[in-house]
Order: sequence, then C-alpha cells, then structure tokens
Amino acid sequence: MAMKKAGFVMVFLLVLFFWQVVTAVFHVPEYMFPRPGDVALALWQMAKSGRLFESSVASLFRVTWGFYLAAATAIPLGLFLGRKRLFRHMLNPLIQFLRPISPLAWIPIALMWFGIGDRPAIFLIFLASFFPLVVSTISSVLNIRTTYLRVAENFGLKGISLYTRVILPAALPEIITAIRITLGTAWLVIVAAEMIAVKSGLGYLIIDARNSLRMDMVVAGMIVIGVIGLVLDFLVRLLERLPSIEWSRMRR
Amino acid sequence: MNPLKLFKNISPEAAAPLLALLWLIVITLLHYGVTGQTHTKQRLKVGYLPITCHLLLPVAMERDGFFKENVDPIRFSSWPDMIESVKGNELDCAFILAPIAISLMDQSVPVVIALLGHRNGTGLVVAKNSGISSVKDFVGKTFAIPIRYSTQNMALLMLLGKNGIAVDKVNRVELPPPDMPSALASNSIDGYIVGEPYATQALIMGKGIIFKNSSDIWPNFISSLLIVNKDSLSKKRKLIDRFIRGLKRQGKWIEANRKKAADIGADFFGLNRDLVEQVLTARRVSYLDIVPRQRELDEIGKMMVQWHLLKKVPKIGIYTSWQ
Amino acid sequence: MEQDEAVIKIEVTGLRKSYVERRLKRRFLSQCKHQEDCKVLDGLTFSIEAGTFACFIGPSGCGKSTMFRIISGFERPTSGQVLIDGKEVMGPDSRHVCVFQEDGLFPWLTARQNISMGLRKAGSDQSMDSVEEYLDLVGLSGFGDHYPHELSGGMRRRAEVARALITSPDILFMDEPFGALDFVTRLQMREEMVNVHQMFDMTILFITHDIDEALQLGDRIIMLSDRPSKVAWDIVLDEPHPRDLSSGTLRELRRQIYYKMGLHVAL
Repeated sequence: MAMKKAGFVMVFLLVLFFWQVVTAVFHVPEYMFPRPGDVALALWQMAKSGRLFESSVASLFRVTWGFYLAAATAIPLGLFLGRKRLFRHMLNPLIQFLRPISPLAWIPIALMWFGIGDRPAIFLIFLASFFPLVVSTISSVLNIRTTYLRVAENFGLKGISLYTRVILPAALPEIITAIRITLGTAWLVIVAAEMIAVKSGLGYLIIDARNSLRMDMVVAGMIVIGVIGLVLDFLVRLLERLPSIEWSRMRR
Repeated sequence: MNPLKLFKNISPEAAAPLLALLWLIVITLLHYGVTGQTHTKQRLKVGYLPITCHLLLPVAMERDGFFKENVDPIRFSSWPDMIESVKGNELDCAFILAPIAISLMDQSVPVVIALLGHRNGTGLVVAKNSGISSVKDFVGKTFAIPIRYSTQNMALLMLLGKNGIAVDKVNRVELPPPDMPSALASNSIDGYIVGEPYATQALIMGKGIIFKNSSDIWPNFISSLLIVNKDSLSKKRKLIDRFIRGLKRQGKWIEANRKKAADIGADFFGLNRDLVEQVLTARRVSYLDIVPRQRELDEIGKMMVQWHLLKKVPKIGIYTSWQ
Repeated sequence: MEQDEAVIKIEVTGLRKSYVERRLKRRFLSQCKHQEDCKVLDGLTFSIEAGTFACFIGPSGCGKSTMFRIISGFERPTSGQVLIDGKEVMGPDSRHVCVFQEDGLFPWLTARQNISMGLRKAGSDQSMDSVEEYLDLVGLSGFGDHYPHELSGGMRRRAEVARALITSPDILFMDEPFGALDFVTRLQMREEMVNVHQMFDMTILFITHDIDEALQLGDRIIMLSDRPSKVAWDIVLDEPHPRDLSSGTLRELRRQIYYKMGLHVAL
C-alpha cells in the first residue's frame, strides 16, 4: 500500500517536472499551454473567489439529478424487461436503436425543449445514463442463477416481493458495476453539455475561460474535472464492497 | 476512510441509500443556495457574445441601475447556440448577427430588429507568415469566418468580388470567434474575418496583421443587431422600451469615455483590459448612429439572396416605438 | 404418526419426459441422433410411503434430476402423472422444499436472514426465536451473521437444510446435496441427515450418485436404468441406524448394485 502511494506521488511529481521543463525550455507561449505555476495560481484564484466551488456544485447537481432519474427509471424497467420475454423482444430493438446515439446529438433538441439552464443538462445526463443502465440491468437479470429463482418459487415468492427480495439483490452486483461505468460516462457528458446548454458549471468554466483566452484557467478546470471524476469512482467502488454485494466478486 | 461505516448503529447496507439521498438534498440546496437563482418572470433575458460589438450591454449593466434590477445577461460562446435559444423562445432580446436575424425572419421566427450593436468593428486578419500582400494572394488560402450568415462572410465575398476572384478559389471555414486567434497561431488557417477584439488579438500575439478594416471594404459596416422577441414584446413592452432606451444612451457615453468603457467591457466579458482598450482607442469601432434603417437592412437581405444565403428577401420588421 | 406408515405419500405412474425444444435441452439433444430418441424418462412408476427416506441412484445423465424437477413441480412431464397426497402436482409448493445440487442459499443474505426467509414465506407459525434454534440444530450457532461466502461448503449445506427444515415441510427433496463436499464433511452430513429424518419424521427424496450414501441413508433405494430411464431395481432396506457398511447384508447389497450398474470389477 505504501509502495503504491509512493509510486503514485513519484509519477505525479515527474509529470509536473516535465511539464515545467518542457514549457520553459521550448518557450511554449502561455496561450498554447500554461506553466504549472500559472495553473496553480489560477486554481487558487478561482477557489478563493468561490467560482470553483460554485461550478463544481452546479455540475454535480446536474449529474446527480440526471443520473438519479435515469437510475430510478432504468433499473426497474430493466428488472421488468429481464423477466418478461415478450416485452423485452418488443422494446429491445428500440432501446438498441437509441443507445448508440451520442447524448450530445440530442443537444439541439434538448435546447429546443428545455431552453438554457439546468434542465437540458439534466436531460442529457439522463439520456447518457438511461440506455446503458437499462441494457445492463436486463443482462444482469438474465444472468441470475436458475437455482435462486427456483428457490424463490419454492418458497412461494411472487410479484413485488419476488423482485425486491430475490431478483434485485441477485442482479445488484452487476447493476452496481454498470452504475460505476455509466456514472463515468455521465461525468464525461456533463462537461460537453455545459459547454453549450447552460451558463454555469465546470464545462462552462472551461469554455468561458477559453473565450477569455485564459489557458491557465482552462487547464485548472480540467484538473478539477479529473479529480472529481476520481472521487465519484471511488465512492461507487465502496458500494461494491458492501457485504451483500461482495459475494459476486468472491465467487470468481 | 469509508463513509459507509461512519454510523455505528446503521449497517453499511442501510447507510448507502441514506447517504445517496442525503447527497441529493445537500447538492440541491447548495446549488440553489450558491447560484441564488431567483427566477422572477419580469426580468429580461438578453443573449450576447463576448465581443466588442455587444459592448452596449456591459456598459449599461454598469452604469444604469435599471439594468441591474431587471436584466439577466446570458452569455453564449457561439452563434449556433444562440440561434437555438432564440428559436426556443428562451430569450427576450439578443445581440445577434444581422444576416442571422434576417434569416430567422425568413423562417418566421417572431423577432423584430430594435437597434444596431455598433458600426465597423470588424477586421480581416492575415497571418504574418502566409505571404499575403494583396487580395490576389488569397487564392488557394484558408480563411475562417464566424458563420455563413454573417456580414463578415459577406464582406469577405464582397472583397473577393471586387478583385475579380471567384468565390470557390478561397477556402472558407466556420469557426467560433474565440478559436480564431489560436487557429491562426497554429497555422491551421491563413487568415480570418471577425468582430473585435479577436482581430486585434492576433496583433497582440504577434501572429497576424490586420489586412483590412471592415470600413475599408463596406462603409458603415453593420455586424450585430439587437433583436426582440415579439411574444416578449407583447408581455413586457414597458421593460423592453426602457431597456432599449437605456442601451441607446450608452452609445454617446462610450464615444466620450472609450478607455473607461473598454475596462468595463473587458471585466464583464472576462477579456484582457489592454486588448479591449487597444480596440476602442484605435477607433476601429463606432457606437454612434445605431438606429436601424429599413433601406440598409433590405440591402443586406438582397446581398444574402445574391450569395445564395436566402431564396428571397423576407419582410424585415423594425421595432421603433421605444423612441 | 408411526401408525400411518402404510399411507402412500407420493405416487408416480408412467412418468415420461422427452425434450423437443432444441434450445432448451441441448445437452440431451446432442446425445440423440433422432428426435424421437430424446426420451429422458420412459414410464417411471413407483410409490413412496409417508415418512420414508427414499434414495435414488443411477448412472450419471440418466435423468435423475429431470425426475426430481418434475416431482417437485418445476417441470411438467410429457405424459404420466405425479400424485402427492392423492393430488396431482401442478407446480412448486412451499410444503415440499427442495435442496438443490448447486448452492441455493441467497448470497446477499446472512445465514440467519436466509433461514428466516424460509420461516416468513412458508406461512409457518413458528417465531423468530426458532431461527436460533435451527441454527443451533445444524451446528451454526455463532455463524448467524456470516454471509454464505464466509462459510465453508459444509456449513452452507447445513444452513440450507436448516432453511428447508424451518418450514416444517411434508417432503424434503434433495438433489445430490453433498456432491461438492469433501469426503469427511460428506460423512458428517450423512450422519446429520439420519438424525434429521428421525427427528422430523418427514418424507425425504434423496438423489445421489454415491452408492454408499444411499446404503447408509435409505429406507428405500430406487435404482434407475440408463437413459431413457425406468426403475431398474426397487430395494426396501430395513437395517437399523447407525449402519455399518461393512456388515454382511449391506456389503452383499452393494456388490449386487455395482453388478447391476455394470461395474464388475468392484469389490
């Protein structure tokens, strides 16, 4: 563990060192790529003015709502479709058709429907998360071991309690893996969405800094986006370690 | 540290959904607390881009108490985004390129023209190392324009026409204005035509020269207009009239206080002060004579038909009752 | 209860099963040249009295598990019928509990939660206290809060048996339940099954591929023939428990079973 951490710190310092050396030795002008010092200063200024906090909150707010809405609809739908073959065969072509359309392609429509503000961004995050979640939930239900379903049938579990007591918990480990991957995508999409659909957030911070020709702020914004992405991933990983989830890893 | 194990009496299984819910509440409260969005319907939403062509707005925001009370400026970074918002009835007013406004009217979007942004204020930039010394050298070169529906594009076409160069001999690409100076610096384009301060930016970076000012190509050049949504006009007429009068008043003040106006604009747009000062003090822009004239606008419409940007000239509506 | 020995609990008559749907049972189809060959069960007929510990043996792949799924109601026969208490089996019933070949404990629940699930859903009148009792019964007291993946294979089987027993089932179906356990654990589990059977006085249908296991546990041993399977031999075994497999009678019986299965080299 200590080795890992030391290794990480070393790589981090090396990257900083090369960044500084390359920009200084080759006289890379500020507008092409800023120096580490400029970026640190920009980070500090934005942190002090509260802009960094405000932007992060705005981005996280949109991702949270878009993702929660997607999870609240996609997971129940996926559980249901995973069990009902007829409905699955009916809806699957539509889902497969809509899934590969990048959420960014929806931007013009999102703007037309919801105008500028939080709502189009939330809508785009919803789209980015909904389809992958439905598809993975369906496949996780199909992967449930027949034995568990037989036991449930044997004990007379039916209807809602069959879903809440057996199907959901049995599918949950795979669903949580899907959540982790999808949340990563959602975080990618929010930055792009905020560059267009809304006037605040980290994506907007970057595009606005570019428009003001402040490359130091652009890079600072990129760093913040990366760090928050890491934290989100870490938090979802914690879910994978819950005792009622962990079994699927143990079996492998 | 594992946040799922923070609570002694609650199992991690139960803590996970609780924390998820708590997070939802916290982030929502923070978001509305921090951004303090109090949407009162009676405020005016005004779209703009950070270009000196739209300088009337920040100066009025700074100098006129009415604006602080009643106007929400909304910044865009590219024209297509603003067009979407205008079509979606999201904005009450917008500073927008004249040909776009005319094209919107052609598409029956309910807008009318109320004011001009300013006159001139556009520069044709060529890269220092492009070897261009006269218009003849443009052949085979790549020039960036803000968007097809811009008087910048039309001015470039006009210049080519005057010098007898066929339009398809010059490669034109659409770029958002803020991207143009860096595209020039990286040699991906040989020149561009754009509203200030992005022309002067190339001078400051030392990568380009201003080959021609808009006034050299097109006397009394018009870049942007202020358009008003007709629906908003019927609902908020008094506010809008007051808004337009307030803007118009700033024109004279800017002419008299160019350096101050430049600083206000630079801070508002998040641009470099020296850059905007240089644009304004070099008098490449004029904020007098910003009342729209039917004849001039019809003329632009006819040119758009000539360059195949329109099929026919639509009825161009001008809103005047604010006077 | 003892006087009810003669009551017929399960009656199986002319049970046939053949698979037609290709994608359902590819495993069987691949062994068949013609569709009509795909008979798995070919007219099984037997009856089992209440309170019997009945063991089913037979060559692997002979359709023991298929028979098991039909009697417990998870599959329908092609023809023939299964009567339990005189009524035809139409589907799974919480009074007839199965312990499957694979791990059937829910891995997302602790041992205690798994066992109390059997209690909740069987409509039993027993209280939650009895969960501890059953944990204790199968030697898992102190392991109630462990998740299945934290238990050994033998412990998991015990917990599963406890989950079945707590519902006070009429019939306990067990499909090679100890197949995946190591030798010593398997011996221990056999002993515990004998105790369980004596204590709860229920009918147990026990499938195994282990002939010694059948000899040690069964009041009845029903031997199935190779596929399509019929009853090859039906033995009533009246030896008292605990049984010594090296005793004369059992050794002779084992020799005969091996012989019938075509294993002439054995012992």
